[in-house]
Amino acid sequence: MQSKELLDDGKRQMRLCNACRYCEGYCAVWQSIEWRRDFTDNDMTYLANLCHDCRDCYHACPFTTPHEFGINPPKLFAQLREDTYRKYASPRIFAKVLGEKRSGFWITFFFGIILMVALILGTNGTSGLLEAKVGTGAFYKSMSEAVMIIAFLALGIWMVGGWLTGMSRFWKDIKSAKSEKIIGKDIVKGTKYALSLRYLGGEGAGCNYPTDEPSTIRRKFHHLVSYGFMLDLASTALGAFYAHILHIPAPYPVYHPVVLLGILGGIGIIIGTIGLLVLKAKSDPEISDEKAAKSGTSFIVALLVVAVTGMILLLARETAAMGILLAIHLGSVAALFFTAPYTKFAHFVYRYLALIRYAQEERIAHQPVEVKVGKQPVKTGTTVAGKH
Amino acid sequence: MKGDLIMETDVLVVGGGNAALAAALSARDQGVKVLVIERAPKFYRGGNSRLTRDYRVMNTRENKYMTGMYPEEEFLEDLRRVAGGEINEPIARLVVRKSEELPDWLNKQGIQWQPALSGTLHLGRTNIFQLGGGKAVMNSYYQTAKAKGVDVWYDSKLEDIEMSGTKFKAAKVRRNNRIETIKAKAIIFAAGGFEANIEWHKRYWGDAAENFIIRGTPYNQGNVLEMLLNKGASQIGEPDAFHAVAVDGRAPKFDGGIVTRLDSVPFGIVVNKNGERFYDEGEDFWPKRYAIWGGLIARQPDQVAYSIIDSQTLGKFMPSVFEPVSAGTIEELAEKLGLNPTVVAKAVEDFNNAVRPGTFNPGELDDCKTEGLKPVKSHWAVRIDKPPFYAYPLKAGITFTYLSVEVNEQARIKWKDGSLCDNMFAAGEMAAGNVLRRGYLAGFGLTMGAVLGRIAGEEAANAIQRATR
Ligand code: HEM
Ligand code: SF4
Ligand code: SF4
Repeated sequence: MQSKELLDDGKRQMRLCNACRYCEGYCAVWQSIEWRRDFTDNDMTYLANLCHDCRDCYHACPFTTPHEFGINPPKLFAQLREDTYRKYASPRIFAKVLGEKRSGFWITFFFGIILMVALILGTNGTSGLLEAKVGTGAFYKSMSEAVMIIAFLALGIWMVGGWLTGMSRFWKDIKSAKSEKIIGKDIVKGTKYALSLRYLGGEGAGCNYPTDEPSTIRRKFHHLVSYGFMLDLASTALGAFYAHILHIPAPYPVYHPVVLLGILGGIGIIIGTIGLLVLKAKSDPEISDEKAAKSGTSFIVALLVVAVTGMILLLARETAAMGILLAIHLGSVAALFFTAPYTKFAHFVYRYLALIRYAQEERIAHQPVEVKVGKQPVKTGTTVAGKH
Repeated sequence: MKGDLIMETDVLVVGGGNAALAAALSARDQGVKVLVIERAPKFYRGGNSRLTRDYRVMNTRENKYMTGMYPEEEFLEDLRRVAGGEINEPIARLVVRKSEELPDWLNKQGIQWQPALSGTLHLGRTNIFQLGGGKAVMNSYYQTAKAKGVDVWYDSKLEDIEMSGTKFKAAKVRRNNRIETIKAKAIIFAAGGFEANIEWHKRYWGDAAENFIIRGTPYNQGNVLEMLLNKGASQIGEPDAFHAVAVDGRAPKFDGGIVTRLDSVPFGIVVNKNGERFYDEGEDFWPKRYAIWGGLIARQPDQVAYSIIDSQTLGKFMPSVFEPVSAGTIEELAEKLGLNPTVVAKAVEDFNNAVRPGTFNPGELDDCKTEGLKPVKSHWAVRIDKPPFYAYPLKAGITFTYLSVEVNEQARIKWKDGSLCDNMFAAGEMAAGNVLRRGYLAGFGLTMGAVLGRIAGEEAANAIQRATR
């Protein structure tokens, strides 16, 4: 569907949902629509990034196809999110080439490996690539420390810079039209919602993913992946601290905190990503957007490749294969970083902002304006509610 | 048509909504075999229950889903009030008392309640709201049924039953274009009313019935109800009465559910096809009045009406699915609606001239009213003079019917001669007339369905166990 058509159909669906409101207990989306009467394009983008794709509403909805109303919020929002990932990234052409297709990551990965091999050969020649190395600073006997730092600093800046660009553009679109201020409380609350993935849990019993039976398994796998990733980040940061501040160069023994964090994180990512892939395969295609499913898979696979190559490197670091394995692992990390602003990896940026915006809306909406009339709660100034 | 397959079970449940599943699960919990036959395909399972929102329950303890106490006597008083005093006291009291168990019992069947969300309208003292609404409830019911080993057949329509004397023996069921015979030791009927049967409405309304919108499932044709009445079951509930509300005239013919409702009426005037007003739009709060508007519109020419408001009041009511028709002048608006522009303009002008000054407040029965106008508009009367002007077409949306089979406190069907069936029970909409012959109390239909359904399930299982002991 074309973007305009998609947005128009989305607005139609939201107007219908707003007249229904049966789903109001499920997630932030349904609260948000009650604070609106009309929906702008930006509202739709915001709602799409609030939706956690738990699918509760779809299964609860009596108006999904074959009903003529054809309501399908999770699919609608998945499609709109795909547009978000393209629209707010820059340059857009990168977003199209790198983000849309699974091949984007693989091609970058290939070039990443070549680049790493070149860097190794360039700094330490063929011995860096092909000979076994042991003892302190073994990795740097493959690739020189300075080169490694410069390469990954540059990639890191590229990645974070890309996210920040998307972040500021996205925020401009979804922030309060009345320019209400974000306060510390909103950020704390939004952060809580994000870290706990509150809306991927359903209320109590869990969400209707992958099938219509309530389950919390998807949230668990996601936690393994995202916290696994954070452990790996922590491991890297700690490694840098040891290497460059304490001047104790890698590799570290297996019981060393840097390695332990790395192993834990890696295992989390491997179990979590495989879990997510299995769930995805089981989920109902009627409720998924094909493009979104593919770009999601591509991101999952990228994480899996990074984690698996990292673990293999750890196991084989004292063998002659180390140089090549290092090139492969670093190549995958480079590809992940390079494509990060354009792939589904950016989801956390937009989702996080959407949740902060939601926390703000929630705070403002709950400032006391409610009066009770008879037995019907009435929202002053906006609607007079009646239930039939 | 071929084949005459025979299948046996202990309890056969006819219907697939709230009452049917409450009955099936309760019977199954007593250890008997249960088969549910649902006329609709799986997607539409659950009849009108899939479009519901809340149960009305007696409440004498603090809980996080309701805002206060709702004692037995108040509940009963509410029932008497809406029914004009005429309720079946023993059954009503039984349903009210047992309603207090429902939140817990339903929760055990996997049904979840919507916690208090500040700012939302769906939280009450008298009613408990389902998380996700009726279809989510039905999903939970069916998941639990599957887990407990209840058999369910979809697309299965009851054609006839075989009896020996007044005892049920077997059912003829059409499934996959074959008639199958199901032998069972007891049968529970919970197959809804006849609200989707236009031909049946025509018996009372003539051709006007063609213009009715059916808010619920198209599958409630009343065939099971009619079969039972033909076989001599005692009839109860007003035969020609239905619960009907004003819905948007552009709603789908069937199954539009809640979203076709329209709350604009108190904020403007309503004219019929001839451009004339016909009833006080501001008589009382809309939640107390919307249910009479279905009947009012059903009595207008061509069963249509038009709610006309202006830009001052557009944002004052719940948003609706369909965009209003809009125009810069009343004449233009009337033309777009296919009404006579001069007549409608005159109606609006007469109304505007009759409006007396007051303080507009949708939150109370305010002092904005008309003087010297017939019919009067007694509250929220403000001049319709700020363009653009808006209009919504209105039709009568039929929600449910009252005609039922008579049952006793064990949900056993009564025959016309006053005797009771041993092994035939009824619950749900098919038995709702046993308490409310007319009138409407939000959430009571589901409550009565679940309570009587549970009783029917337990009694059916007990009857079987007594017989085999
Ligand atoms: C602000 C923090 C985060 C939030 C709120 C969040 C939220 C979500 C949600 C709601 C989904 C499911 C819906 C969808 O596919 O879009 C999801 C999927 C996913 N997330 Fe996150 N996430 C966050 C951070 C992360 C991080 C740090 C990682 C790992 C580096 C991660 C990895 C994934 C993966 C692999 C998927 C599965 C993609 C798929 O199934 O297509 N997330 N996330
Ligand atoms: S998804 Fe369906 S049930 Fe939920 S609010 Fe929208 S229309 Fe209502
Ligand atoms: S799929 Fe889940 S998270 Fe998304 S809108 Fe529906 S209920 Fe909310």
